[in-house]
This record gives sequence, structure tokens and C-alpha cells, in this order.
Amino acid sequence: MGPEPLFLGLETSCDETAAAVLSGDNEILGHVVLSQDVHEVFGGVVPELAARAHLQKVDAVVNEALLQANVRLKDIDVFGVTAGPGLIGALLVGVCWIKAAAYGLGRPWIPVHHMEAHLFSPSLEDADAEPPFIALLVSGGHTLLLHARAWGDYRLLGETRDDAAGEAFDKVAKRLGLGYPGGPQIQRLAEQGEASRYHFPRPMLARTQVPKDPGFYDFSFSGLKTAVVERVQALETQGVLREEKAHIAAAFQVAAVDVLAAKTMRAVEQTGCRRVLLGGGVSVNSALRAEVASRLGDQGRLFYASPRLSLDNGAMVARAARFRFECGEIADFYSSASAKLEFPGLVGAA
Amino acid sequence: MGHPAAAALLALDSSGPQASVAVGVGGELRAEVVIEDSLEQAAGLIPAVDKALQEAQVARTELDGVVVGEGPGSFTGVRISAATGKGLAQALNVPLWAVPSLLAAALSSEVGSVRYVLFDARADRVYGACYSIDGSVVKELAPSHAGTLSEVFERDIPRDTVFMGDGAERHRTAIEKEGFLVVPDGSDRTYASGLLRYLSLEPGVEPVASIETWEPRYIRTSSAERLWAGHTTTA
Repeated sequence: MGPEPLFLGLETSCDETAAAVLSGDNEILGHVVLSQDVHEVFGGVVPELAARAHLQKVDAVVNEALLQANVRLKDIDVFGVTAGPGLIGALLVGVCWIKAAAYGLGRPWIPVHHMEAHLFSPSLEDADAEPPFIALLVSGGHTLLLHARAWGDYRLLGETRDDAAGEAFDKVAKRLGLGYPGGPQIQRLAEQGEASRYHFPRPMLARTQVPKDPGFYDFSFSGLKTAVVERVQALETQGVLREEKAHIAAAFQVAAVDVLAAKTMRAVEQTGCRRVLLGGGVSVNSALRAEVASRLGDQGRLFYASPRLSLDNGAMVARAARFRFECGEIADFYSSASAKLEFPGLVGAA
Repeated sequence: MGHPAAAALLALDSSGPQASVAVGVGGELRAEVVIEDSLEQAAGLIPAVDKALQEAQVARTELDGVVVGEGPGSFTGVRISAATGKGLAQALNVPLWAVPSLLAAALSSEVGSVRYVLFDARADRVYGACYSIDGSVVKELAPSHAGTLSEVFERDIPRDTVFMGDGAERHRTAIEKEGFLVVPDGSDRTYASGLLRYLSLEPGVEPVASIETWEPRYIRTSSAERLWAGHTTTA
């Protein structure tokens, strides 16, 4: 290995096939994200189609990232890949490919936890985005609130008890007849609506006022989604849904953002840590960013990545792989993907 | 172009419940390793490759090519070998060959001159293909297909055909009732060795034109697509 090791990060946990080449000083030399469009007609990710599409594109995506970086596969020193959590068939494509490439070249491979990788995204653009921070990780499959005291030292504060935040956006978008993924569609439509026209519930907020209340930091989006769907049904019956769609989208977004921001601020107040990091696909939502920034005020620091690094990507995987590699955590070739991979270094609330 | 006669080749197949890896040099089988547990295929394939190469005393950098079973079979299983084969071929900068997994199964046995291979595709469905094998001459009598067992018997099948594969084992009673012999699955060699045998019988067979764009032959669409097709045609 030269003085400047090169890291390859591969991401195939859901519906993005992504690869990136990262230098030893965290410079992104190559970065390719291919979003699968085969799922749109189904209104959600179809696991078998996702796995097929990953295998179809994995070589081209990796090769393009190498080309951008002006390096060859044999120049890569460490191979990182998302090993979970995610869709098992999709994960296996990336893991099998990376294990084979690493074995073929006699190099180490590092299985990466997808949500830990999201924690690293902002640090690729802002060197200050280092722990300690409160992290709100929100995506189509996860909603996690944690206190990162150092890289690899995370305390779980809260998580969703049912649907993930992104899942609620997707389901509401689907019911409103918008495209997939739902987050950007809801945000776009919400900008044309008046949130105050409707009021939707803020689950697990009013009844959990003090830290000793169970679920003080937890989320629930299923009830909110159901309330929206029922209202949409009623408006449809009245024949006025078309005119009300934007207001519904706005009111739903405000409710979801309110819960996410409120729980994040609880963590800020209880831990005294005024540094907040937003990660995962839903963190791209500008209403969420604005709301957390406003509640945090001038006394706090808010970190989030640009959209290309907030959504699933290979650079965050390469960065997390680098961290784990530097911790000496090289996997043996018997390791594999796991749909429910445990978050490394994450401990439950004390 | 094919491959050089003295080529060192690595073969992988995980289309069925049992995955296998084989190493051949100059058309001679040097090592084969089996992964019995279907849930361990993804974890165990590279360690099996390593073991097979060690047994064959071939360094990975000495390999001239990688051969994979292209399917059909278990969707996930087929992809495990396909992704592994692609990654290895790219890393070693060697060509990739893809051979029908049903043909590899047919060539893993020595029994019968007409071999109908059936892989279990669940819910009373099978993947099948029929080959006549006369010494070193392989002829495809029925290409890889998916369907029910009754659809298999609607085909014109020579009376001396023997059936093999886990699908044949599963439907043994019905097949024997039709007057055909079912031979035990994988009784002689692994499917991976069948892949190598095919390349030694047909040395002129071309590797895949592009590793980047090559994908397995699943034969069947995903269940979501089948449900969707049913939904849109009845709507």
C-alpha cells in the first residue's frame, strides 16, 4: 500500500447502485450513483428487480467511478461495501462482487453498516462535521436518533416504532397519486399548499413530555400516514381531492417535520450537545433542514451533506470503510451481507 | 477465440441448493469443493474458491478465466455466482464464460445418453433442459425453459431419456410413472465440474462479450412482474 491508500466504496442496499473512489485524505476522486427506475410503476422498491438491476449495472458503475478517479481496479487498496441493513438480495450483489474483487487482488474488504456510512457523509464536505453530535438519520428504511460521542461510539436515543419517516412520505405520495420516491414529490407539492388548512396528528409527542416517559425520543409515523390516507379518502369521495392535494401534502410535511425536529431538540436539550447532524435521504427535505436550523438557533451547529452525498452513495461507504479499516476491523472472507446488520458501536440508552 | 488448451480455469455454480467450485487445468479437473448448506453460499463461496485453488495448487494470478453457471435456478443463488464471477474476472483481468447451469448439471453425470435436467422452481414448477451427450458431442434437444412438469411431458422426449436434478428428485414418482428413469442428483461430479467439462468439450466457445453488460439468464420474471402483468391484463 502506498502512502496515499485508495478506498473503493460500493453501495447496493436498496435501489441505488453507487460506487466511489476516496483518497487517503478523504477527497472524492470518483463518484457514480445510478438510481434504478424499474420500481416506479410499482410505487415502491421490488426486491427481486432491485437485485437484478444491481447485478446488471455494478461493473459499469464501478468502472465509471475508477475512470473518473483515473485509477484502475488493481490500484484500490481497500474495498468497502454496504453489508446491511437493506434488501438481502440487493446487498448480496455488492458484497459478493467486492469480496471477489478484493480476494482476486489480495486486498482487504470491509463490510460497512449503511446507517453508520450516512453519519460520515457531511464530513466529506465539511471537516467540522465530526462527533460529538446528535444525529437524526432518516431514510426510507430507517429513523434513528442517536448521540455520537466519537466515531464508533454511538448511543441510541430513539427510533421508529413502526414506519420509517421516508416510508411515510412514500406511502402518502403514492396515495396522492404522486411518483416514487415520495419525498421530493411531497416537498414540491407542499410548496404550493397551505399547511394550516389541515391538521394531522404528531404521534408520540404530546404524551411523552419528560425523559422518563417511555418513547420520549421514539417516533411513530404509521398513525400519521393513516390519518392522511383517511382524509384523502374523504376528499376523494367529496370529489375535491385535486384542489386539496397541495394543502394535504403541506400539512403532512409540517406534521412529520414537527415530530422529527421536536425529538431532535429533546436530544439536544437533554445531552447539552448543540451540534446536530441530519443524514439519510429524508435529510434532503428543505423544510426539515430549515425547521431544525431554526429551533437550534445561532448557538448550535447544524451539519448535513449536499443531496449527492445525503442520498445513498458510495463515497460515504468508502469513508466508513476507511474508519473501520483504521480501527483494524478487516473482515474474513466468510463474512457476508445481513439484512438486519447490527449498527457497530451503538449502545442502547442508559 | 475460446480458451488456450492448457488454460487454468475456475468454475462456480450456485444455481441450486448445493453450490460448488472447481478448478481445471488443461481440461483436467484438479479440485472441486462443495458448499452443502444453501444459506452459506454467499459466505462460503470465496473461501471455497480459495480452498479449491490451494488443492489444485494454482495461484489466483495464474487463472486464465472464470466460468459461471448462468442459470436458471434460484434467483439469489444464480446472482451469488454471477457477482462473484464478475468481481473475480475484473480483478484478475481474465475473461468470463457463462454456461447454462442445466447443461453443467447434465455434464456432471455419466448416466444416460439423453439427459433431461430439471431444477426445482417451487410451486410445482421446474426449470428444464434436455441434452444428448454422445462421447464428446453435446446436442441441445430442448433449451432451458420454465414450466410445469405436465408441460415437460407435452414435449417429444426420447424413451431412453434419463431425468436428473433436484426437480427430477422432487417429482420422481410422476416421472417414473411416465416410464422414465430418475438418476440420483449430483452422484458423480459437481455442477461446477460440469461447467469445466463443457469448456473442455467445446474449447471454441466464446467468453461473454462484455463483463460489464453480461447478466444471468433467469428465464422467469420476478413474482412482482408476474402479478403486475396479471393486474394490468385483467384491469
